[in-house]
Amino acid sequence: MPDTSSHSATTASIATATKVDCRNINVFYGDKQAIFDISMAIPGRSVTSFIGPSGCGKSTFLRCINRMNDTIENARVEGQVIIEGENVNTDAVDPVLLRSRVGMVFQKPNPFPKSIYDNVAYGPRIHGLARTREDMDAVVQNSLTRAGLWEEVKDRLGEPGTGLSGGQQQRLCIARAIAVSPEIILMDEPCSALDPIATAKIEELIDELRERFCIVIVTHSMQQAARVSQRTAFFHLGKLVEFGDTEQVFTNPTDDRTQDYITGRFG
Amino acid sequence: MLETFSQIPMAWLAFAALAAAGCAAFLAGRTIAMGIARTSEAQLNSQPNYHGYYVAMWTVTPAALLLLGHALFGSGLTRSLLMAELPDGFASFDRLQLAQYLDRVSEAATLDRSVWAGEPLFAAVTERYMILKGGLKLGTFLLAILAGLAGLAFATRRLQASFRARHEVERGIQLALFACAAIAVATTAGIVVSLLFESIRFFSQVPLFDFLFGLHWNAQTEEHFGAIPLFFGTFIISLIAMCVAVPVGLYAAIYLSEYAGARARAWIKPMLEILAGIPTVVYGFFALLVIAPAVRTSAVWLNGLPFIPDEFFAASSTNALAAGLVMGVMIIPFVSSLSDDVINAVPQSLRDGAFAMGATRSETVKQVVMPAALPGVIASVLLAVSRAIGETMIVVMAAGLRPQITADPTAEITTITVQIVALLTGDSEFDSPKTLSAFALGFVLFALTLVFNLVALRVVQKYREKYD
Amino acid sequence: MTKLISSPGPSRFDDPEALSRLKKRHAAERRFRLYGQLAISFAILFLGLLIVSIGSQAVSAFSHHQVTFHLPLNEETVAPNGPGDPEAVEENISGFYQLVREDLARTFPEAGETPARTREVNALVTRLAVIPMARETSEHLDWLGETRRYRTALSDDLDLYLKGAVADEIEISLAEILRAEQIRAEDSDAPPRIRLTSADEFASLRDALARASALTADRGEAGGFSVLVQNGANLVRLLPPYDSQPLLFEPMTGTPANLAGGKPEARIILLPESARNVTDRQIAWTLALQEQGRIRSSLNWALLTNSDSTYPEIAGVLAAIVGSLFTMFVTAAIAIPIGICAALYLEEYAPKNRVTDLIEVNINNLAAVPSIVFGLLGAAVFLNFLALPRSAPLVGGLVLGLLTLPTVIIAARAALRTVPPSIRAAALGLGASKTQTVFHHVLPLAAPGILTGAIIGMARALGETAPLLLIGMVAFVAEVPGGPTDEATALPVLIYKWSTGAERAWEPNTAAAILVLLTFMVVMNAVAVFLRRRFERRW
Repeated sequence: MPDTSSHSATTASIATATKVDCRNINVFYGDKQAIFDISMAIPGRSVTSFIGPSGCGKSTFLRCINRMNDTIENARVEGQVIIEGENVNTDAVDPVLLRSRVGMVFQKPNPFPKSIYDNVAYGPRIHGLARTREDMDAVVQNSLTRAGLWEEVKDRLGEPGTGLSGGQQQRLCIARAIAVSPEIILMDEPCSALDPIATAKIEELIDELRERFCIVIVTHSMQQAARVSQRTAFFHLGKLVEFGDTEQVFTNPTDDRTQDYITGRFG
Repeated sequence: MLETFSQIPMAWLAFAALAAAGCAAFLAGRTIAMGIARTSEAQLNSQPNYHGYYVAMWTVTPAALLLLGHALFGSGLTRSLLMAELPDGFASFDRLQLAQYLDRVSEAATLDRSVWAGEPLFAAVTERYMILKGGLKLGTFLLAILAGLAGLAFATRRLQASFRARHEVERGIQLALFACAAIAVATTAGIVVSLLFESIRFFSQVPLFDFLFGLHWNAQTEEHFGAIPLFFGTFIISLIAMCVAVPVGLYAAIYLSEYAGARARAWIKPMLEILAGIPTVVYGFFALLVIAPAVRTSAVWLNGLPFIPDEFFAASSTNALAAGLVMGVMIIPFVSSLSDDVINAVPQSLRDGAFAMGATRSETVKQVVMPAALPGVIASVLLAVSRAIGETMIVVMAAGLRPQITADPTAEITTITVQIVALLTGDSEFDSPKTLSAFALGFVLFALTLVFNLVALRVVQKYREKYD
Repeated sequence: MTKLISSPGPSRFDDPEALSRLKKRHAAERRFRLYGQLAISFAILFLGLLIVSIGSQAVSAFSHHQVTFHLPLNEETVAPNGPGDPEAVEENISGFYQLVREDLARTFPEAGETPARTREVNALVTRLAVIPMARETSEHLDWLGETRRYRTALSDDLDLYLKGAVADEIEISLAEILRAEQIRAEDSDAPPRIRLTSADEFASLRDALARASALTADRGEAGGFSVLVQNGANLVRLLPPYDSQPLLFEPMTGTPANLAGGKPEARIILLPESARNVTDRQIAWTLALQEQGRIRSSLNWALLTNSDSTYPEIAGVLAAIVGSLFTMFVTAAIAIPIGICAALYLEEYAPKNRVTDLIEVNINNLAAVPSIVFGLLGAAVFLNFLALPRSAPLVGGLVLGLLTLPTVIIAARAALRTVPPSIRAAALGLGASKTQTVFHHVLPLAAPGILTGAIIGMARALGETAPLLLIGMVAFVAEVPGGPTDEATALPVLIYKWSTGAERAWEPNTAAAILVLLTFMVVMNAVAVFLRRRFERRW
């Protein structure tokens, strides 16, 4: 188990203070253990990427941060997820409130079968973040602008979100996530269903968003991890193998398995 | 001779004969094919067995079709032949009397001769009937044998080395399968034609306008054929049923698909399926035994309250509320199981999206899942309405027979289906407007449910396409 | 407004405004969940109520009370044509009933006083209830001249009374009766009266009478009850007014003098005599017979082995079961082969064109057409046009076959669809023809699923009632049909008919017939579930 806190101390120039501190996370699906005792300190205002072969537990670990595993029957998460000094992986913390602070974008774009406007306004509406119609309009415009979609959709906000192209849908989902102004955005392979041009746009967007949000991204593409993230974690068989500055992980990995994976020997 | 022949039961005999002929033809075809294979230098195109099947097919099919035709149309044909020959004295009989007379004749024809010896005219008619029947039977049989032989001859002459027997047999099979599928269409056609035919006869005696817009229904006396009270009764009882079935069924479906754990689901779903499997006559008895008296007692109690005028509720011993309530329960599983299907078809990613936004489960259901599932849910409700309109036994047993337009749910009320049953049970005469009105009601019922079904099926199909 | 986006602000986990909002949202969540639970509880409770109410009704029909008779089989009454003619003995219902009546007259001599009273006592046993007796004797003609013991069904109303289904009762034991004296009124026409002297002056009886008055007064029929005092096989009835001093009684049966001594009992029947189908005297006779050990409760096998009757105590479901079996046989012969063939065509052969679409839409729609419309089809086409026999299982089976056909087709198609395309590809790849592929590989693999669907469809058809009513299968059929063209009725139709019966005793009978029907359906469904479990293949 690498000493993650020392890493974050030495890379203060890139990452700010720790935003999410995961301690001794174990995840079980029924009798099967999917995550083995992972601890990791994720810094704020930067992009952290999770890489690793399929089924290595990176998505599962990601879903611990906003407790999406709660929605899966017979899934059990042990350990502490500390956000801003408060452990959120307890019954005392309401997952509903937690998820308003931790947004998530999924692998496949999943806009609701509603209008573009309503998709973005959904979060602020259920959390009561905008009191007037004008406030809501502003939130929607702001979020769409941030997601780089405003110019493309401003004339058809009333049309269904499912009518957009794949890349646009994904950016709509990002806009939807940032509309509740979360502190952390989790992205579960956000580009895997998109073509290269749409992917490039999303990556650009991630780079911009990192100034305001703590972003955690699961990706299959090592190039993408290298391009967008400042920190990289390599997972293998439910364990955290290596976690460090992206540059260091890709150029000078400390573990042989990381070396093997990034050079394409397995995975 | 023909008389004796008329009394022989033909079904088993014909069946055995067909089977024997089929086997023989198969063996003949196979033997011929094997002979060809031995003598000619060319290889057989198909296995000898297929040649056998081919010959058997051609031998059995024409004969079987003839015999089937006789089984279906034989007795009707015999009757009309006999009727054409009846002496003039029978002209005074109306259709019903004639039909009953012929029923007696055909029954006597199956019995021993001594039974009808006393009545000379009756005996003569019966003798003639037996001769006609026996002749027809014998004729069909001979014709069937001829047809079989012709088929056999035709098929055996086509056999040769290059003959594609397998292909021909498979085409035959495919044709037979198609015919089976077409029977379903023929059923619908039969329903439409028979209902339409009898309805037209009805409307030649009773004006269509009076039927559709008349406010008085008294078919037993053949005076008033205004069906509005029946439509009203059907509407009210279906409405009560839907008021029970839609909320309960929908919430049950939502609970099952979104809240219940796997173990709870494993228990609750079969329970709901049991509700769907109970015969409606059992529901009817339950309504009559338990619910209707309970409704009546409650209504009497309510009538006794100071702020309710006396006799405000009719408190009838069979009433609309009891029938509607029980029908509603019967329909719950139709709403819940189809709704459950459509709700489950909503992709999980949409739910994940909503959860990730911090929506609670109920918000996810109300704002994301249900809007997405709405077309399917509407379709399930439409199918349930169609089921409620066409439901018969519960209303026959618990709703009553009195055609009236009243908003009082404790009053006796009648529906389209109740009247159809009331008009057609017992001896019925196919000429009277009374009997024919049942077919006109049946036509309305069929048309009404057809519209609901078609719309619902269309919506479901569109919905499936969307998420497949 | 931009602040919402630009500055996430402090942790909102303890923001009071957000928390109060959250509280409301969680309350809404709990409410929603509760609605779901309520809906499911409603459905399940209703199912429970249905099963319990029908089951409890049926239980009383599965046992019945029988009366024991010792009948002297004298030849002239029992065998009018002499001992050589067993058929005449079997059909000699009036002779056997005469023996029963004579026996009752001997047992209760007081019943001979007036013709009305004789009719009253004869009603203890229904005339047709002697049929089994006659049948049994006709098989043992050597019994002639002997006195044999027979059991026969008690009349349905008294059977219900003994089962406690007629009226509520208060039963109390009394203090010893010291003396019973007969008082002859001056008017000789008036019935004799009995004065009883009780050890405790009937204190307990008077208490009970007060309670009974209060109970009946609540129902608005004060004093509307009867009081019988019994000691052994001797019964008297309390005469009104019930608060007179002394209490006067009238004799019902037995010897009033024998009421003295022993352990007397009183029973108060909380329903006026005019409101029931059984008189006080009939109850007294029944109780006396019971006291003599001549009435006992036994399993009501007649319900299963008898056919329909106009008397509930001897009616049974046998003919209806056989009628249903014939009907199901025809239904299965129509629906299953044709359904499977149609499914094969649609799933494996049908080209994608408008004809196929039409057939598909048509089948889906046909599955939702009300069953009564199929009844109309049967009446118009099979009965009127084709002149097939009325009330016959053949026609019933044809109608139900057409009704079940779409269900079987849909189930069979679903089963065929579960066979993966790789199987077809493998067979076709080996050079098998389309038809060989279908009949050698696809159909056998789908067979268990098809069979399951077919059985479930049959079970549903078994419970269908409305179409059978329209083709005349509602006729009264007291004989077991011998074939599919004989007049017959079906089990669900019998249930409907019995449920409309006026007498109370039809209610438990109907419930029992329902249990028989449900048993058949449960067995069929269990077979289907077993097939599914046993042969289900997961690809």
